[in-house]
Amino acid sequence: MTPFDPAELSGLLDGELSLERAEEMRHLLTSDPTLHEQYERLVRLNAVWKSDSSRLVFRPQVSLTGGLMAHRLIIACLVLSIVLIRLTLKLVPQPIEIGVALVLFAFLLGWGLRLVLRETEEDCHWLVERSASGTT
Amino acid sequence: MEPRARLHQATFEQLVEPLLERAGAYARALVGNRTDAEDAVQDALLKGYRNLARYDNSRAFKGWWFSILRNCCLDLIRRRKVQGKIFGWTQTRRPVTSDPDVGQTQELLVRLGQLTPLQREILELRYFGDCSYHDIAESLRIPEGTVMSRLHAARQALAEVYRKEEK
Repeated sequence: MTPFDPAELSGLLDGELSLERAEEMRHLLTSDPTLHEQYERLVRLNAVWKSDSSRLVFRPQVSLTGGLMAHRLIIACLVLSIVLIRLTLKLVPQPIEIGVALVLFAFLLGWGLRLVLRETEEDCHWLVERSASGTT
Repeated sequence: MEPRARLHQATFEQLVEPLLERAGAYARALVGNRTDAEDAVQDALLKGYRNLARYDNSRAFKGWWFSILRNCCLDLIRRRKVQGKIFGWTQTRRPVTSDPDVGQTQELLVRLGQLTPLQREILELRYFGDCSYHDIAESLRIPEGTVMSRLHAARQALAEVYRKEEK
């Protein structure tokens, strides 16, 4: 028999061990009352948490088609607004036109930067998780 | 919409459909209420669909999509923190009174809150997301052996929380 790791009790409980190893573990449990008691405690905790966590289960009212439509509508509105602003600006004096164009440019630049930074932040999130688990 | 895109959308919807209920529970455990959880799942649905080209078929789909969902929930919590700073809210997990199970939700979240982030993360995926070790390993990008040992440590910590409550 390979050396026993306490974490394998969880593996046995969740049905994640190989058939052969699970059989070895069951045999070990019958021969060791302390270990059996430890396993029983784990079974009880698991049952409580399974029932408690199932209370939060619900079916979210979500729709991929609706979400895609909403997203396209937002982009269409944004493009239309920019075109309308550009056309309206043709009617006002040039300094105002330049000023508004600069504000618009700054807004778009900020938006773009935010997207890039958010991406970087997500990458860092993975890096932190990986280094915590020692896989990097 | 072109036929190919329609096919992609239908396939993606078929893959996600059986995961929605557990995705709802998982998001609810992370963000603290049903309304925000629904928003996070909707967001993850869109992001998953848009990133489908990046998905590697040999990986567990559930784990891959749940990692997107997790990021959506974290984004939502981050946004809420910013809104909290602007509007003076103090809670990051803001319960909504329309949530019928708010009492039970709070109890579970309080217990989870006493664990470390790594322990919490793995228990949330296992119990609320009903993820297998393979899915959890994919979602957290860790080996399955690490999932087993981390989950066991988290359960021990949780048992300790219950023991403290009984005293």
